[in-house]
Order: sequence, then structure tokens, then C-alpha cells
Amino acid sequence: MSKPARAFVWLAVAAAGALSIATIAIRRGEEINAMWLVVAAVCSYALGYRFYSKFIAARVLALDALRATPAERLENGRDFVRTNKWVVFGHHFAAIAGPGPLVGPVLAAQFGYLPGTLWILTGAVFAGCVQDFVILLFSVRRDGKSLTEMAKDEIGRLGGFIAYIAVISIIVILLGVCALIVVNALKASPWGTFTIAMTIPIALLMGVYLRRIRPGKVLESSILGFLLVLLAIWGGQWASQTPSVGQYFTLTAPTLAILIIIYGFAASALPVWLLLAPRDYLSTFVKLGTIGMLALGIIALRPTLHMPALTRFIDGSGPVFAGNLFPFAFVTIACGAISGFHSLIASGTTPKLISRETETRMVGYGAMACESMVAIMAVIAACVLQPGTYFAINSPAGIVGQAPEAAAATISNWGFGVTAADMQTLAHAVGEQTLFNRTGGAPAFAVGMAHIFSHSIGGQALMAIWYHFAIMFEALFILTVLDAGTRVGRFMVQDALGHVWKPLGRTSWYPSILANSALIVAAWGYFLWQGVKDPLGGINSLWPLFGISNQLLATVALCVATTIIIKLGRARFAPVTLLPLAWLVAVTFSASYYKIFDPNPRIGFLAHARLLATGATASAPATARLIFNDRLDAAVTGILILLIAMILIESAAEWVRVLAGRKQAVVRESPFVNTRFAAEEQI
Amino acid sequence: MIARQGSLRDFFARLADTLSDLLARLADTVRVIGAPLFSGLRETLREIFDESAYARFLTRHQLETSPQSYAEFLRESETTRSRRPRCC
Repeated sequence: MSKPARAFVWLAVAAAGALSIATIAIRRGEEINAMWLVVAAVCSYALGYRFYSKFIAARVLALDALRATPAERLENGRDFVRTNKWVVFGHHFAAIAGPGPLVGPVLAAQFGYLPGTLWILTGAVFAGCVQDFVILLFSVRRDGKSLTEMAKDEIGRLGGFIAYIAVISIIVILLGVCALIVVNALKASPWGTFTIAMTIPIALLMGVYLRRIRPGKVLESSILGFLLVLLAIWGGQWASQTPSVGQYFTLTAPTLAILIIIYGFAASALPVWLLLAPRDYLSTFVKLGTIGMLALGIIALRPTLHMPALTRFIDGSGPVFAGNLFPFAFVTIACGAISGFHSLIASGTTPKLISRETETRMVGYGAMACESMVAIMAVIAACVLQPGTYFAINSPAGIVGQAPEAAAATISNWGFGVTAADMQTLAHAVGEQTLFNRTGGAPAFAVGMAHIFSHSIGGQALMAIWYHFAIMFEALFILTVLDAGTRVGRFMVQDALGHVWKPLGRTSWYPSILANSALIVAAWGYFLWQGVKDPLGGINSLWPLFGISNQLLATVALCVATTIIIKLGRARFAPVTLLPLAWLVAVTFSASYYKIFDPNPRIGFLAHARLLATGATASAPATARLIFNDRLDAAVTGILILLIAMILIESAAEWVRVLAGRKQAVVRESPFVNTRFAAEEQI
Repeated sequence: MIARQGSLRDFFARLADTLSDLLARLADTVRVIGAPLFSGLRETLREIFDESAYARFLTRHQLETSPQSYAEFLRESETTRSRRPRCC
């Protein structure tokens, strides 16, 4: 294509993007079509990828296609393998796409569709994609070192220690929140619980197929497993309508919490690989398929968004979670805009597969742009619901009341019309007893997804099947995150304790496995139990805490990246990572301050503890426990913010030393080696 | 009348030729674009689902696929896999 033609095409993309964003931002008081969001997102990512990531690749990072990557230099056929860039892209995307980009945007939809959409687009293009890209490249240049190792090498031992604490914190809080989402989605839902329970024998059957009948044929067994899961969804309907069976699968939140804690411990401590590996594969298969189906469904249906651009809850009085638009929208939506967790993947398996440095742009920046698109789809799924329905599902009983009529009246008084009869009809349509107070984001997303699917395939008759398919999909891959995360956490604790007493670090010594598994499960199990017992639904306290810890990890990653850029002598380009870092610091510091000290008991942990302490039931053991939980959450938040401050000071001191010439800038890159494939790849 | 019938027959014959030519070209295009797309997708899925890793394991150890080989592969890759984080 000639240069003027290319310029014309990109001008057209920019114009389409600008028009879409203007439409999203300016329209008030009328419903808009979801395609405006899709076009705005696609154009933003395309422009960001074509121009911003190219600038970073050429000027900031100076990608060198002639430099051999660790996959080439250290190729061993196991961890280090030169892999086709599209294959690495798919692999990386499958690893970074978790429940976060689906749940966060659904919760943040209480502010309206506009704040979440704008943050997802700008956050991804200028922060999230940049973080994933630079960390991936810096890890590639360091033989695939992890973020913790890079922080230790480039910032100092304290940087490494803080990165380690950040990773452990985020894993523990993430697992607690994930488990809570599953509990809230499955409580009093025999259909959903039956389907998820059936994935255990299905996984065992897949395991037998994989190991005995067709060794290693994972795709075949995943397709078989998927068909059986569809059968289990259909069977769930029978189970829910058969009282003698349904009673065993109608469980309360505490019972489900206990079962999930036992499951987490078993997954980490027992040799149940036969069960876990097939489930892991099945979950990935379902995840990729469902995301693809949702994208097709949105494009085919082009639904209308019923949620307004902005709701009255931008003032901080939201029922889903309390807190002002700034900073809480920006910690609630992490994974779709910027997620520190991605830096673990970008400095984990992916850098060991990259064939050429230049491919880090497509894999790092491109895969995050796709993940961000998933978050936009979640915004659409939440906002296609009538606002009254959205708030009825997501508001805890502690805010709107337990009785359906009272809840519907409260929500209608906010200006979002809904009746108990409407909700009963909807619950009946999706095969549930009730949809009131189903906090956590997953049920609202499932209803939105079922709405989109049922308008595309099968009509209202399949609404219940689609709803439970969505619930199964979310619960299945959240449980996979749960068991994988518990094992990763257990290994990290074992590595650390091994420095204290060697046997504790031995991953094959059973007492150590049991003790460390119990430690990790107890940590996230505590947060889960706290969430289950919280009258405000748990998500109100725990999701912001998760967002803060996730952004803390992103802060560590951006500190590492800025330090390396400065040490490379490219300080004039440091704003590329420094500006997102400054934004994250502003967001996390503000959010932490509000979560600890805000006088509103729905926001501030300490204010809530004070309210309970002065209440009529202050001396009751249950109240004492709630007070302790509040103080613990405040302490955890305080420690996280202290860590952010410490790593910032440590990094800034390093930058000043280097820039003032008081310290020689030494980057710990692997030595340059020419690629053997330069000639054959016509570089 | 006979002449008109002849020209109509010619018209449909030409239309059929054009259509079959078009279909053949379409099939070629699908083959040219679709085949690499399909094989790329298959390779991506094989990598995500560790089928490629298992194939590399068999090559590295010069083994044939069997329940024993797969069990050995799982044992070898268990530690690596267990340390692989999953994103939120």
C-alpha cells in the first residue's frame, strides 16, 4: 500500500475512534448501541499498537532483531523453546486472561458505562500494554528472569523483597476474592453447584483418557470433557427440579466456603494431578471458546446499553461497593486496564518462548490489548441489563434489604425501576430461585451473557441453559486459578522458608508440603470466611483490597522498568513508564487512605470498626470478630501502602544516583549474542 | 425460437462456467488463507494444551507415545507447571 493510502487508512481509523469515543462520552439521557464501545476500543487499540508501541519499540527499547533471545541461546526443548510468534501470542493471552477483566468492569458498571470504558481504553493503551511489553522485553534480555529477580538486580535487595511480598499478598487476596465470587455465584443454586460438582468425575474421566486411552491428546480429551460439561449443565436443570437430588446441591455460603477451602488444600497438598491437569485444560478450552462466542454474540446482536453513561453513585454511595469514582473505579478495574499480575506472566513462561526480540511488541502489547477488549465485552454484558436489574443482582442485603419487595422499592427509589415480580420472572427464566443480593459480579455477568446469547441462539427457551453455562464457565476457571494459585503460593513460601530451615524448602518433603499448603490456604481461607460473614457482601471490602494489591505489583513492575530505562541512558523516554507509575501511585495511595481512614463506615475500615464498637451488639463475639476483621484489613492496606512508599523511595534514590552521575549505570542484561537465524529469516 | 433457446443455453453454460470458476478461485483463496490460519490455530492450541511439549519430550528422550511415556512427561513437567502462575 502506498504511503498516502496508508496515511488515509490510519486517519480514517483515528476519525472513527474519535467519533465513537465522542459519542460514548457526550450522549446523555439516551441509550446507545454497544457497537460504539466496540468501534472505540478496536480503533484505540489499533492506533496504540501501530503508533505508540512502535515508538516504544524503536526509540525507548531499541528492539534488536539480530540479538539472540534466551529461547535460542538456552534452547533445551523444555522451558526454553523457540516458538512461532502467533503461538506465543495465544499462549500468553491464555495465561493473562483470567476472571479479573470480567468481574472488575461488571462491578464498576455501578458508576455507569462511561468511567469504566474510558479507564479501560486509556489504561490499556498507555499503561497496561506498556507494562506487559517492557517487562517482557527486559525479561527476555535477562534470560527470562522473574520480576522479583529483576527488582533485586536493578533496584536492590529491598526491591526484590517488596516484590516478593507484593506477589504473596496479591496471591492470597486474589484467591480469597476469587473463592468468594464462586461462593456467591453458587449459594442456594443447586443447578450451578451440580454442574460444577460434575466437573470432578468429568476431569477424572479426561485424566484416564489422557493417560491410558490416548496419551497426550489433550485437545481431544478437552473436546470430550466440554461435551460432557454441556451434558452436566443440562443435568443440572434436572437436579434442580428434582427435590430429592436438589437438596444435596442446595448449599449455604458458609458450607460452600468450607468445601472450597478443603478443595484448595487438597489441590495443593495431595497428589491429585490426575484430577487437576485435565480440569486446567478443560477450563482453558472453555475460557477461550466462551470469550470468542461472547465477541461474536455482541457483534451479531449489537445490543443496546440500558445503563446510563454516569449514575448517581459516582458520589461514592454505590451499593455494589462504596467509594468515589476516583480512586475506586481505577482499583476496581485492574486487569482490563493495567494489572501487576501480568508482569509475573511476562517474566515467567513467555520470555522463554520468544524467537526474536521484535516479537515482544506483538506478544506483550498486543495480547494485553486483546485482554482489554475482553474487559470492554464485560462492560457491555453488564450494561445491556436494565439498571434496576443490575442493582438488584449486585446489591447486598445489608444495603437494600433481604425481602424482595423491600429491595425492589429501595432500588426504584434510587431511580432505577425494578419490581420483585420482574426479578422473579428473570430468576425463573434463568432457573434460579432468586437473583436478589447475588453480589460478586459473576451472576450479573452471567445474566448479561445469557441475555446476549439467548438473543443470538435459541431465544428465551435457552436463557437458563446459557446462564448456567456462563456460571459454569466462571466458576470453572476461577477454581482453576484457585488451585494453581495455591500451588504457586505454596512453592513461594517453601522457597522462602527453605532459607530459614532447609527441609522446609524441599518440595518433596511431605510435612513441609502439608504445613505450607495449610499456611497458604489458611491465609486466603481467612479472607474468604470474612467475606462470607460480611453483612455487606464481602466484595465491598475485599475487591478494593485486591485492586490495591494488584496495582502495588504493577507499581513494582513500573519501578523496575523505569529504573532500567534510566540506566540504559534513555532517561528522556522514562515518562513512558513514569507517567503510568505516577498515576498508579496517586490511585493506590488515595484508595488506601480512604479504605483506612474515611469517616464513612461503608468505606473506611476503622470507621466501620468504630461503628460496630459503639453499637448495641458491641460485646457479642460475632461483632468482636467483625471489628477484628476491619482492623486486620486496615493493617493489611497500611502495610501494602508502606511497601509502595518504600519501593518508590528506593527506586527514586537509584534514579537520582544514576542521573547525578554518582553511580555507574549498570544494567544486568545477558551479553549480546548474534542470532544464528539472521540470514535465514532475512533480517 | 430455436436460436433464442440456443443463446439461453449458451448463457447458462457461460454462467455455470463463471460460477464454477468463481467457486474454484474461492476455494483456492480459502486454501491459501485458511490453511495457514487453521494450522496456526492448531499449533497455538497444541502449545497451550502442552501437546507440543509432550511431542518435544518424546523427541528429546527418543520415546514412542505410550501411557508410560505420558506419565513420565507429567512427572517431569509437574514442577514447572505447578510454578506457572495464572492471572486474575
